[in-house]
Formats: sequence, structure tokens, C-alpha cells
Amino acid sequence: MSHDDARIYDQSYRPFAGDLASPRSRFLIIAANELRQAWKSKWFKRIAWFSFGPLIVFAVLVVVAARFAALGGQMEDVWMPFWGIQMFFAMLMVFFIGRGAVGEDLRTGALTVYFSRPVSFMQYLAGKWLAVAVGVLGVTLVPGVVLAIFRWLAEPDTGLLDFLLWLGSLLLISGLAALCMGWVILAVSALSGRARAAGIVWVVLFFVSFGIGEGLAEATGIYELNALGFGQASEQLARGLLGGGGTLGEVFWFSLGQLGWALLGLVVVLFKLRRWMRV
Amino acid sequence: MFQATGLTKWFGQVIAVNDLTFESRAGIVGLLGPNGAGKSTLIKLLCGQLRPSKGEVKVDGQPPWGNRRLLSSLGYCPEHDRFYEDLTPLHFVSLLTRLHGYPADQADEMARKALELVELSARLESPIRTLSHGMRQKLKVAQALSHDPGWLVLDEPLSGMDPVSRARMIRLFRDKAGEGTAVLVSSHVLHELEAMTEDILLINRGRLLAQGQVGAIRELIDAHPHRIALRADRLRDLGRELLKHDDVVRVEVSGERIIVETRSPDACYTRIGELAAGGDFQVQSMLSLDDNLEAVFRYLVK
Repeated sequence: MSHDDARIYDQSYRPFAGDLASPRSRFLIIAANELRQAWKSKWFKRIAWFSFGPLIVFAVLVVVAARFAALGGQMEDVWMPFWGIQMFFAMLMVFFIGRGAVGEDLRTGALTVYFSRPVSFMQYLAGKWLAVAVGVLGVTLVPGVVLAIFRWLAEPDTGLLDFLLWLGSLLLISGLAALCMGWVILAVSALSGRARAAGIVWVVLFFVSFGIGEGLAEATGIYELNALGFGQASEQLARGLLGGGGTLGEVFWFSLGQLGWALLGLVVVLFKLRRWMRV
Repeated sequence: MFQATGLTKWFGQVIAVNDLTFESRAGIVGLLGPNGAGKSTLIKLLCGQLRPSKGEVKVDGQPPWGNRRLLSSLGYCPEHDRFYEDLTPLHFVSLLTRLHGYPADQADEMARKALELVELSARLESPIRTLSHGMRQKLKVAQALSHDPGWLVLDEPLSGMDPVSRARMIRLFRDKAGEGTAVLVSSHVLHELEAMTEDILLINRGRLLAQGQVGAIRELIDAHPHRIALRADRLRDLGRELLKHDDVVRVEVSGERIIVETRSPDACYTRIGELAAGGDFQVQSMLSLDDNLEAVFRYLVK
């Protein structure tokens, strides 16, 4: 073999010469990192898998209900209890993803490192919120859509229009839940500082708001006051839109309740991070 | 490279940086000053993390505040640990590199290279919480270097490192400067900076005290008369006694005190003490009117 056939290749580091990702998409990196961190928790993984358990149970119920209906019987609509359970799972997912999202950054000063990069304040916030929203949608919208498909196939009386209405309603309800829960947990996280404290406050807030909303609604007879509990509001929306048991006014108030919580959360987050808003 | 004109930053009633004007050249610039001098505030202003209250700051001719294009080529090593304790060094540096727009595999490669440069290759996959203080310092430097920045701003990067690591880091910074990266390093330890550069900015209480070569600054400070205010009996006799010494350049009687200007403050303080102890004069109070300069002076000569 002659020397002409021999090659020594340069294995050293070479500067990147490819295209950089668009600056607008960098919030996705932040969101993916938050989800990746949450995924490290074995409890998060267990809850993520368990959240599909009710889907199996309710799918069986849908088949049973369809058979029962064929025999002339009638079962209560499955959507509201299904959604109630999924909201509980959503609360747990939010607990794992969002409890340290902003607070830990504020406590450790990680924002200094984030904002020494070409990342805007809005991208940072969008990334943090998106991570929580993915968690919420993963345990509400995804199993909800699967159940809707299953029900559409199992019930011969359900037409394509009904199915599409379910899909639209599912999108609206789960989207509002993601909006509300996402901003509320980010606010709780920003106020609490430490992830553990934020987690406890989040769970307490979820149940206390639920209790207050329900208690006030019962005490005053004003059903719409259930909107004060953000879990309850979502459940009632499911009843109104999916189960066909609510009025347009109720749908409005329960949507408004969720939007109100989201707005409150957003205002708190912006206030806590005001020093970084112009970065 | 780094430029400030009348740069001022207030935090409420507190003035952290006061009317700074300077321009640094290429290479390494040392930012020297005691704790609380305003170094970190100045660095945050240079990195676009704070907006000037007054005046302007520029990096490569552009204001850094809200300038994300500029931040793409800036490497910043903060003073304190800013870490997610559960992440590994590789994940942490890779994540921050990806925020510059690099694809995941490329960011990983760049992170590995930066961690190798700071000799953390053996701890790529260890959680950050298990790293020693010195290793965490190296990690901070690695995240600042990973994206091949054109400007490197390092806030007390050598703090907590062992002597061998310090020497390696200093060599690394010099290499980076040699490759064309503009480096600004802050420290409150002069000999650390002297090992890296001759070019320093000296700040104290938010004000620029001196800029230039360390040797030249030492000479200027030696030549700069230091003022001491004294309250004592027989002020004029005391003034005459002090003027007998060569280092005392001027004595001024001002009301119930005299102001002595000396080029050798330590010797003058000692002499005044001896005069008081010997019972020749009753010295009621002695006050340095050049606290800033004195602090820096002690700093430079210790």
C-alpha cells in the first residue's frame, strides 16, 4: 500500500456550521426541559400511566350503557364523572410539573443564567406554561378524545356531528383547564419559592377552592358559584358541554371562572417577575 | 469592546454604579474592587441583565439591554451558583447551549467540549448537587464557554478553586483571549487578576478609581497625596511638626482641624500616633478623607 492511500482524519472539534433554530421556538426547549425533569420522578410516571385507568373503566361503561340502551334502559351520562376523575389526575400532574417551575428559578437565581441567553421573557413564560399545559392536556384531552371515539363507535345513535361537537367541547374544556391550572401553579410557585411548599399550597388551593365554590353555591342557591373552584368549574363545564346538562349561561360562568383564575395567576407571575419583564 | 459612558445604576436610594466612564481594549480586562464595590452590578449592566438608570453601556458598539442578538455571542459566568441541583453537568450545559438555537446533538457535543476544557469530563453524568464548590465554579465557566462566545464576562470565576485549577483556568482564559475573545474578569483579589492581565479597571463604591496597567496605577497611587483630617490642641505647632517630613506635601488649618496631605499615609499615621503617645500633642480625632483611595491603596500594596 502506498502513502497516497493513507489518510489521517481530523477528529478534533469543529465549529457548528449548520442552521440555528428560530429564536421564536426556544420556549419549546424550556418546556421540554421541564417535562423531562418531571418525568424523572417515578410517581409522575405512575400517575401518568394511572390516568389512563379511568379511560378503560369508562370505555367498558360506555359499552354496557350502549347495550343497556338497546334493551330500553338509560344510564347517566359518563362525561361528568369521567372528567371529575381526570381533573384529579390533572391536579397531580400539575403538582409534579409546575411546583418548582418559576419559584426555584427565582430562589436560585437561575433567571440570571436564562436571561444571559438569547431568550425573551415571554419565551421563558411560554415555555414554563406550556410544560404544565402539556401535562394537563395529556390527562384530560387525550383520554377524553379516545373515550369520545370509543363512544362514537359503540353507540349506533351517535352521529358524526355529535362526535365533532364532543371534540370541540373537549378542546375548549381541556384548553381552559390548562390555561387556568397552568397560570395558577406558576403563580403559586412564584409566590412560594420552594417547590415543596408550592406543591402543598397547590393541592390545598385546589381542594379549598373546590370546597368554597361548592359550599357557597349550596348556601346561596347560586349554582354558578361553583365556578370559584377551578377543578369544579371544569367538571361543571364538562357536564354542560359534553353531557348536555347545562345552560349557555352556566357554560359562560364556568368558563369565566376558569379565565378569572388564569388571569389572576398571570398577574401574580408578572408581578413576581416584573424585574425581568423588559429583558 | 466594553464601553461605558456616564453609566449609573440606582436601586432605590442606593447607588450601585456611579457615573462610570471607561473603554476597554481587546484581550483580558480585570475588574478589580473590594466586595460591594459594584462589580457585579456593572457586570449585569454589561450583560443586559440590568438597564442603566443613567448613561449608557455598550458591548461591541451595541447596548446589551434587551439585545438578544448580542446575547447570542455573550458568555456570562455569574458570581453565585445558579444551578438546578438534579441536573447533570452535561444536561445543564447542553440545555443552556440549546437556548442559543443549536440542535440537541450539536449542543451535547459543544457541552462535552466545554466541560472537557474545564476538566469536568469525569463528572458529566453526576448530579450537580454532588459537585464540590470548585467543580461548580468550573461548571459555571463551562456554561459560559459552551457556545463559543465572542465576549466573555466572568464574575469572580476563580473563587473557591484550588491553586492547580486556578492556574489552569487562568491559562484557559488567556487562551480564549488569544483566540480573539474579549474577556472581562472580576475579582477582589489583585494577584489573581495580575496573573491574567495587566489591564485593569479599579472600582470602589460604584465609582471608577483607576484604569490601565497595574504597574502604572501603583505608581499613580504612590504619587497621589493622601489627606488626613486631625483635631488636636496646638494645631499650628502640630502642622509645623508634620511638615518637617518629606512625605507631607501640604498642611492646611481649617477651623478647628488641620488637613494633612501625605504621600506615605502609613508612615504619617504612625508618626501622628507617636506624637500623641509621646504627650507632645493631644490628638482628639484622626480621619482619612480619602477612604476610597486608602482602601484601594491598602488593597494594592498588601
